Amino acid sequence: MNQAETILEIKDLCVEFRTMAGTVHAVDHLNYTLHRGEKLGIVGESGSGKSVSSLAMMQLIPNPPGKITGGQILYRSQDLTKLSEREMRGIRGNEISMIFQEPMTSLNPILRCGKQIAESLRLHRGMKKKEAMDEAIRMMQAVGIANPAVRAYEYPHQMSGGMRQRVMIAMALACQPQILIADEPTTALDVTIQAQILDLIRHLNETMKTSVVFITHDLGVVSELCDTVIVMYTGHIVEQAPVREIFDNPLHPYTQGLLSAIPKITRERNPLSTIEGMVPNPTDKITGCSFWPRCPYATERCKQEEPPVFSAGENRKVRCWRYDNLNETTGGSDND
Amino acid sequence: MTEQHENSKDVLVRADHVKVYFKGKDKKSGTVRAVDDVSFDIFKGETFGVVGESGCGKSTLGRTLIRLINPTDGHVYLDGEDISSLRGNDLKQMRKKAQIIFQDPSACLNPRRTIRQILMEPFEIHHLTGKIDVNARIEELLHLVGLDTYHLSRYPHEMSGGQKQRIGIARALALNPQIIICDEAVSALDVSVQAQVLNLLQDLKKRLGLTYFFISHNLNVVYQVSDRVGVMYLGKMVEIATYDQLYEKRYHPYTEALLSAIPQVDASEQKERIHLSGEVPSPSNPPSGCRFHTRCPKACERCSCDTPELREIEPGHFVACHLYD
Repeated sequence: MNQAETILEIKDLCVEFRTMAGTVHAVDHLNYTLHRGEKLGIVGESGSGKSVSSLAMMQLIPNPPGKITGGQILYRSQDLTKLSEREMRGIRGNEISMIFQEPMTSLNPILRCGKQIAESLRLHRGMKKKEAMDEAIRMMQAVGIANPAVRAYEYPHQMSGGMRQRVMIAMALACQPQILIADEPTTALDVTIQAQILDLIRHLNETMKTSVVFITHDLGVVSELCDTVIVMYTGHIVEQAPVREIFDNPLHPYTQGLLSAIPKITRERNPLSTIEGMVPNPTDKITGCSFWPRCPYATERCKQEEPPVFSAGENRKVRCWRYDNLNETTGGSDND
Repeated sequence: MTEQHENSKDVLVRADHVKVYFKGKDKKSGTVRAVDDVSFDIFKGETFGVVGESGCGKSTLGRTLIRLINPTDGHVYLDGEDISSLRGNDLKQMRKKAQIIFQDPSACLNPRRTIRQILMEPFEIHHLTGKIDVNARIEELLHLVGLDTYHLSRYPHEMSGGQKQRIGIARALALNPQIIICDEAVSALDVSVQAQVLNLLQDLKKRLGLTYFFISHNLNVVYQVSDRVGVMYLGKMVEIATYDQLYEKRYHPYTEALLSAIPQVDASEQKERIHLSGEVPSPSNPPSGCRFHTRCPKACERCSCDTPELREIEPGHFVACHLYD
């Protein structure tokens, strides 16, 4: 992984939402790097900032109330936060594309599916109508839609959930983007269809060398698909590690809690262990580590001082005072 | 748990050849066979889990068991009484025995009512407000589900998803029901909250001697809570077994495939993936013979014409598949 080309670098990204109840720091000093061909999983519960961080990458934060208040998003050394809307439009859907959770609400109900896929080809590749449509049909075939020449002329409502999600993926991949951001793409689907979609994403990642940012709350999916995992809580990264390490040896108490709260199919069934309390209200300001009110290991220090990010081995980072014997890393300039 | 009901096989709910068909608006759209000839028993004090993909009829079945939907054909017996033909006051009295918890807690609580008003409603409907100390009962209910009395003056929007689901549970418990249908009761919750609610449901079952009919598309969740599990596919029950039996051996190819499709956190628990191609066929025009034969990796010629019956191939383990004839 070290040799792989860095394709995206997020440095100290901060996103705020101004609401009536106060300012919400949805993403708070986020740092990570994405390499070419890497499959990065971002997990966290609702309100952890995982979706907001990916919307920020696409410059799709609704403004107002949201605003990127600091940091850089470097795509091939180009800062996306500095681009004009016109320049951004050239990147969106072309170099970075996104798949959303609910395919029904993100497809246009009154346009035929093939036309929606062809749209980005005509826009970014300058293809003619006929040519773009042929390419759209080829893409539909590539994502496993049977009989694409017929289905390209169908409307979204004529398709099942799994098929719609495939259309979304075909649309996102039509211009062969460098980065594919998938925001809970399988949450609304059945497990058997989810397995098909995951296979498809894995296959495309291998053949096209597309980097994937996979956002989910399902740790099982991450375990199966991703190379690297980021665990987010209240807008921070609390832990980052290669996928097997995070499941075999989770360091952060939150990650440990999340893992033990998942029902598993085992011979002996014990009551699930839980994380006490719940995700704090986003407008609440918690001093020190934001996890301490729910943490079983919380000390006085956790309540007072905000923990820095500690490096816990190669490509491993954890944001917890329990590891302060380890080396502190500084922000985004670490060399992972 | 398993031994318990084997010693005292008290049947609480019996579904006898239940069919639920939904007629289309016109001839073209056809009849959807949501539940097609399903028979099984639920014993007193057990959790009967049901899994299946969307559209397999699991929610329709759950609602039919407590007469929220009238069966097109067949009978449902609750505590020995045929509830499929009840009317008027008899039906209303039956409602006290059977309650339901829905998936989306924000959608099933009236946003304009306080928690106290919401919890008061079951008592008002059954004219119990003068007969028992309702306020004391409401406070008792709140404590049962782990909330405090100060929550009574709150509105649903002031509470988190987990808390709202607890209110839904408290409301279902209000009239001391015998059976509770949990229709995807934890599916909308985050993992850490989901674990809290699942533990609460288990705890309440032990303390109050409840029976659950637990519907979920998440096999892990169903496995976590169920004493017996039923697997549904396109309106048919294809396999019923106790937890231990199903853990040891899954006979039906669909059950095996469904289980293998779940991504597991623990790599050693991951079953070898059985790829099911295609999607669930439309329930308005189900395949002939065994309904699973179009996607089944082990399908033979016979499967496309003969419909397999649900048969007991081990004590307590029922399977509907020609492979085991």
